[in-house]
Amino acid sequence: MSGQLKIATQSIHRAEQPFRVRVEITGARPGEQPRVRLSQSDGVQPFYRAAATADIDANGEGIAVFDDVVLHGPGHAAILVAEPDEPGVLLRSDQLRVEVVP
Amino acid sequence: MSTRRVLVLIGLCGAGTARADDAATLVIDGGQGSFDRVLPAGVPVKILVPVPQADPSRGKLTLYPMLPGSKACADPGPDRTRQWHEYGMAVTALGDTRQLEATISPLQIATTYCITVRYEHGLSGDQLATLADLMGATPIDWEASCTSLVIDPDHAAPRRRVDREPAQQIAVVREAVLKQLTGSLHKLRELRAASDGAPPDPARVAEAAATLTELLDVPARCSALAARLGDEDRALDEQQRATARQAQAAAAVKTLPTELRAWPIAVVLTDNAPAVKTLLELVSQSASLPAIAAQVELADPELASDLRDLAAASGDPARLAAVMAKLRAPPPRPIPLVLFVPSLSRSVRVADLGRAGELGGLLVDLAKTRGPLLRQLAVVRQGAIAVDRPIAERWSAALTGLADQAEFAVAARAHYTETKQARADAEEANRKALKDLVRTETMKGQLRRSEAVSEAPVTASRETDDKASWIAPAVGVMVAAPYLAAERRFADPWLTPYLGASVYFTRVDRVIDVDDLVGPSWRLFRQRNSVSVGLLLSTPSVRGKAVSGPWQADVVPFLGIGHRFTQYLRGDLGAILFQYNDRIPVITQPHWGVAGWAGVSLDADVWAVVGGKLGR
Repeated sequence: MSGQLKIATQSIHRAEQPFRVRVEITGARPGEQPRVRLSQSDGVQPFYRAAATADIDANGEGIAVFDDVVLHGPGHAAILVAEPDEPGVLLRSDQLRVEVVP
Repeated sequence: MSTRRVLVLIGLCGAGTARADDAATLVIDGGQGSFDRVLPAGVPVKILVPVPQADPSRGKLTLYPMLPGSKACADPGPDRTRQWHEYGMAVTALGDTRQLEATISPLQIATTYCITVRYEHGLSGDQLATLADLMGATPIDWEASCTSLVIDPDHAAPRRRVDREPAQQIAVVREAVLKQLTGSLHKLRELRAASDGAPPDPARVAEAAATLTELLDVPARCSALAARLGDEDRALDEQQRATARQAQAAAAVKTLPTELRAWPIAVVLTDNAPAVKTLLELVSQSASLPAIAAQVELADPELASDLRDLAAASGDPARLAAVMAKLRAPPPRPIPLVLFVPSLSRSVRVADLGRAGELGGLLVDLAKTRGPLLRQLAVVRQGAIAVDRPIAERWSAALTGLADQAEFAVAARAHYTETKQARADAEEANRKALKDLVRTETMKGQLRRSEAVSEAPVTASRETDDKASWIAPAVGVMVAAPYLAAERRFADPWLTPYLGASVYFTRVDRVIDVDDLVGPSWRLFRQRNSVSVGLLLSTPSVRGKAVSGPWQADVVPFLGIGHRFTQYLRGDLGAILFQYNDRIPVITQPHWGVAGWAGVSLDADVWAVVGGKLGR
């Protein structure tokens, strides 16, 4: 059984303003500590990219927190992608389209 | 004459104001217009146009006579026809609805007029409902609008959430509302494929956005939302800390000794409840021995083999006694600590807890019900040699701690989910409030006026009445040149007043300037020319002696034709047949004479006077 990643944040954000993104993990193995990568696949350069580790609780749930996500290019849309940052971790990736406003 | 003066006075008093019965209503139905009555001629007429839309903003009325020979209205424009007029229309209330009205100048009698009404109105009810739906989807980043994340060196988290200044909150939300409102109004125009009418008034749109933001009470909503966000942040921090503590506890478990000198224990199901037993308690139950051997296999394969052999020997007493003797003595060497993990339905060597699967199973059981695992350790402790009992105690304490942290982590996650939902509910409440506010009467009024929607022009035609007379009294002064037939010469000219009647061959319009009259040529001719008949008001004389009428009548009649220069002033030409006396007095037989005359008369229509049309 593979788990699922889900990006949780607002769908609109101001350019150059840091905001918090939570990648919620469900269906993972309890006690695991998967490393999750959050990256930007579309929008205005430079793209955001960072990784964080989540601790999975007894229900197979965990949260990876990215506290300083910054997007550029007001008026454009960016796509954030969450995926496992290490091989062999069975977590389905997720992506979210974010409007970057002035 | 006094009665006539009174009538004239009445007519003058009525001039300039439209009376109640001088109103006509243009009913618009399905884009077609029709009048409810024949249009009154010769008086100002109030044209009333009830409009289906609740809030007409302005209207314009264009009036022109239908061209001769035409059967449909075609606006020739102001330079190509007489009596082309354009009027602005006022908006008045009519019960729950509104109507446009304009008072038009007097119309020509028996003439068909075309009236075109153009008007603009605000957004309709349906459009407002659509607008409310669009506004309900206003993409407001409430989190970022109300709060911001700042670096706080005194705080454990990398960033701390702080409330924005109320003015800043209002400005951010107002900007989003304005952007959405502007976009929504453009969207509405696209939906109705509007190519005419004024585009949304930016000032009014901005005013509506400001009002909407004010009614939304952004600071209060931000305050409530910030509280929910704070709860969520704290819950997230707690969840992160709880799972971190769980990870630390799990890591601590992995550092404990994994072997001790104690025989493994077994877990059996009694009435579907797991019960922890020592091997000594179970070894005499030969039916259970294969299952027990499987549990023991991980800890001591040799002992497991003994148990399987005992099972194969069907509880041979000698073998049983040997195994029991072995179990009564402590193990000769430390053996791996093995725990039965119910969620995995198998035993796990604690040395293997570094594997994710094993630890996961342990966590699941510890978080739900730690009892069966801790009871296993308690039994192991009792069976362990004295020096190894602390190992079992340390395991018991460590798993108790891990169980606590696993429970905390699950509870923290559940609390985070609750606070996240509460925050989402607060944001949804804000969205709903915005949507509901757009539907309030206050906002409807403002939003309706934010755009002027031009309705398709409505044109209707209707004839005017013919309440006018074809005969008119005429009073004038003439100059006559009397011809004395018997003497074959002209006598001295006469200057004399006359009173007569002008007979027209149509009903005569006394209001419209004769130069502005419209219609076919024959009709215009009949409007201006008439036949006159009447009497001279004084008796003229020839050679000092009064003449008489034909056949010595006491009055002198005349015949003539007249032509109106204006509504009331006419020029006349005609002839007078008269008799006069011979120059020799003894000759009593009168002679015939004829006089040609020209005069100017006032041509006043009694009907026009009574109808108040005099002087218009």
